[in-house]
Amino acid sequence: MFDLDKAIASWRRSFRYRRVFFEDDLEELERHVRDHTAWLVGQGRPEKEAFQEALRKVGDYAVMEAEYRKVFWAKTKHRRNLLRAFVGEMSMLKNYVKVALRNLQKHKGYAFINVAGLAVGITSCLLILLYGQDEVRYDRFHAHADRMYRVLEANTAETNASSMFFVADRLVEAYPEVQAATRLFRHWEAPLIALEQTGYIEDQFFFADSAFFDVFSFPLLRGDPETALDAPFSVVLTETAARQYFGDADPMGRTMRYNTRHELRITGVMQDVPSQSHFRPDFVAAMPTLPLVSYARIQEQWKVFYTYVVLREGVPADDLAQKAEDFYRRHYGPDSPARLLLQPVTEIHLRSQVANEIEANSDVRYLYLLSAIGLLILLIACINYMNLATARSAHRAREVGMRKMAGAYRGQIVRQFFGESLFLSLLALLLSVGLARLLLPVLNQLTGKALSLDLGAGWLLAGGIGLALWVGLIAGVYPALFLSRFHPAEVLKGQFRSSRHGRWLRKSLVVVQFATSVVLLIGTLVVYQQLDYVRASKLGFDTEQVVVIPVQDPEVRRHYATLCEEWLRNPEVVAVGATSSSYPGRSHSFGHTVKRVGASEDEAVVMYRNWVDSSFVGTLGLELAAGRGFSGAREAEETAVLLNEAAVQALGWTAPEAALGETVLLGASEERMVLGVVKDFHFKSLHHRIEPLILTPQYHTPTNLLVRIRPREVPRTLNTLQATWERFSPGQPFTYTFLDDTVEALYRADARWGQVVGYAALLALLIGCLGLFGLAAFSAEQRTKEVGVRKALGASVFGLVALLSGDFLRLVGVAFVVAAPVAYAIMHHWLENFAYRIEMSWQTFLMAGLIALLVAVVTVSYQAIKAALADPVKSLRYE
Amino acid sequence: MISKALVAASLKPIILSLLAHGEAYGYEILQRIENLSDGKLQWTAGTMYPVLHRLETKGLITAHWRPSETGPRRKYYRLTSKGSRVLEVEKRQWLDVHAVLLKLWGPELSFA
Repeated sequence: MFDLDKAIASWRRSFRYRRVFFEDDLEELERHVRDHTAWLVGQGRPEKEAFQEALRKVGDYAVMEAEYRKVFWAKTKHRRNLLRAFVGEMSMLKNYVKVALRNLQKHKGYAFINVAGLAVGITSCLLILLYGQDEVRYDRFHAHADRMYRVLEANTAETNASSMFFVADRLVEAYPEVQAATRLFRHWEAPLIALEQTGYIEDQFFFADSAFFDVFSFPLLRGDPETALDAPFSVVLTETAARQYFGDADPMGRTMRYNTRHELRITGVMQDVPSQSHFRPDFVAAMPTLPLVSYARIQEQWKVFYTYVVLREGVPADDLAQKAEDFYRRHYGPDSPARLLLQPVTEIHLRSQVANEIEANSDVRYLYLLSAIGLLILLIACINYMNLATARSAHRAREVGMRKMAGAYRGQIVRQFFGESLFLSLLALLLSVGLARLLLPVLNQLTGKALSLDLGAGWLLAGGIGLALWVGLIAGVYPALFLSRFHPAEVLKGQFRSSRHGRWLRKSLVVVQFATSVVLLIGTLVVYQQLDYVRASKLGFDTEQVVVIPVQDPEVRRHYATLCEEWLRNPEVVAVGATSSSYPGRSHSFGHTVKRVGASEDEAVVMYRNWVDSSFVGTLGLELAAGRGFSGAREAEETAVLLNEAAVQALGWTAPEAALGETVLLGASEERMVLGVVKDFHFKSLHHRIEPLILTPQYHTPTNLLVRIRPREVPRTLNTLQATWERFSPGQPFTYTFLDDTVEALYRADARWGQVVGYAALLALLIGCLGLFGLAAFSAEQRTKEVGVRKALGASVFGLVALLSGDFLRLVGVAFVVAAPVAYAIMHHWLENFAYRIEMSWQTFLMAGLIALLVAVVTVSYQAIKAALADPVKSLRYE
Repeated sequence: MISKALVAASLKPIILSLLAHGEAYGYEILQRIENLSDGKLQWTAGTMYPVLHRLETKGLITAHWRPSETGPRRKYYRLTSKGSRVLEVEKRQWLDVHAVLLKLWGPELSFA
């Protein structure tokens, strides 16, 4: 017996997963069908027939569903029924998750490769994010950070971070917009600070005005910020410094010695300065102290003070800069080209590249480059996912077909696959948090910071999840769109073929991955080659075994000649020289004008200058191109100078000999005689061309002693040097640095970059291999039958391996061809940073290509060999 | 068979006009149109109901349920005042078009 109600119930059930039909709609449709059936029955038709006709007459179900879908959202809004729609979505989600998990379990290997690849990508981004947010935060902890500016002097030659002493006072006087101003000064000769027997050379010893604590937010743990820096000889120190000298005792009111001669009174203890500050003082002394412990000239004539101002609320810096446009003209003279610039303090760390910075700053371009590398690696990881997902589409095709048959429309399938990629991406996120923790020490070593992964930090959580969501979206987009396109009929009949289009895309994705790896590899190799070149370069002087010892104590300075003689008695000491200014690897004094007698003003050359004694040239091993060095005859050679070859050339002489005995004008009017010409040597890094340098004799205030010692028994020799030293200067500790370390430090940034690029290359290669491994496995799987047949027909294992790997290795070849010119262009640009650089050789490129090829071969061959060794009987037996 | 486009274009004015004569439920509307057009206009439930629903969201018609003697209740639709204003506009437009066509087809016009 035909049961109408049962039939109708069954008919209604078919609408169950069609969420575009509300319950009301189904009720309406049921009513309609019943009415129609009843009418047909009334016409004399049997009930079953009538019902079936009524169903037919409803129309094409696909069309109907499409029409209902068009109205769906409008109806939802009209009914304010979004909640119900959302709940519907959620129940589908349960199903998607179930299927995703099942898939994961069935194909653990592929799932692992996917998750691992994504995790590596996300980890790189997390680490770079960590680094970035630290860099961006510099100097923002000050209360007035958004109104705080450093005063720069922009001149024709360069812009200077430091200004003259009077600038701060004049600004406060002349402009009411300036709320507070302070000067900061750090002496180029770091002072010896001593407390009874403990003494250290403090190179973060600053002088500042009493408004220091009004401008900067460095909280005082002890002492009053209003008065701590008022009186001369008062000093504030950080808690770590206090602990170093005083242990747990209270340092307030105690006295410390400055350079053995002056007494400073401690008027405050301040909190340690956070690492995210562009300057990090350990000691801050009151500015009135400065003329009492050093030359008065500093304050009157030298441009060595860092001036900071805080503007009043609501005053835009540009307005003040405009008003102060003629500031320097009023003080230097109407012809002065100097201009006043206000630099926001928060921009100093990343964007300031002016002359005379307190500390070497970072560069925002590093941040951009690192971000680019991070994104690149992430992209490669997403490409991996896409490749694997679409390669294995045959497996998912049946499922897609079934779903479509059951009535799912394309949008639902797309959503399902997105859900899967998001799910995997979140899994990868979990994995990468662990990975990031592991790799944190490496990051800290690379950047010289002390970063930590604080999971509680809101931004990190938000950033990580946001990242995972984006990755899931990007990685999932292609597979979702590709897999949802399948036609159920074709797929279920088993007629699935991997489309040409898809295969071509997969190949190009592999090429992109490996090309990126090759570019990074070449980059790494070139950077290391350049650094090697730099290290091995003839610098024009001998860096080996030269110890540099700073001298502060005036006693030692007075008797340094005797000290040197004592040292020379040791057979392990080869030579000792002194400088009163600088030595190679450190910045040299610049701005000294030299011109030939009778030459005009524009023929004057601005050059570097160093003040050295007679043994300096010999100790460093500098060679003379003409004439001789200083002999030590102080009076006779009082006006003698040495020039380097670059200086000679700049002054217009054709040969070094031509300059001998000639007179030059140093500065405005000092007449000097050229005693000798030194061969050019790299007193700056190889980033710069060798520039003109003038050496003048000085014997009475050596700041650094250079001691060349024999390479044997270095520690013993150092001990002997120390013992002698202590006889001369019981107060000052014996500190030393090696000249080759100082020189090496010039290239520290480059070395770090080399490391970063190296790691990036490693990561890119790793991810590329993961992908290749998966693809190779899949390809081998696809061709199981083919391999079986070939083997049965007598193919050799070697031949089969070659067959299965050939395709992939060819792709790597293409990748190399693509990568080489790109790498060349990039590295050529980088090498232009160096005035003295290597030529890139084809061997380097070849090596990178071979490395990539080797890695690919190893990756692919595992699968290929496994497939080739499989028993053909087994592979041909099953469908 | 009347072309799809014409059927689709006429759905709205026909429904509104029909409801102007009084309220009706879905199946009823379908039947009446079939009768009125002598079978030339045969709408399907699948296409008609979505249109009704859309008109409802636009506020041109309202709906309410009435219990029926047997089985599920019926959803009755009724024209609103906004709907009748819109109907007037539609009517004007159709008549304008119609007038042009009449002029063009002139004396050859015959109702077969």
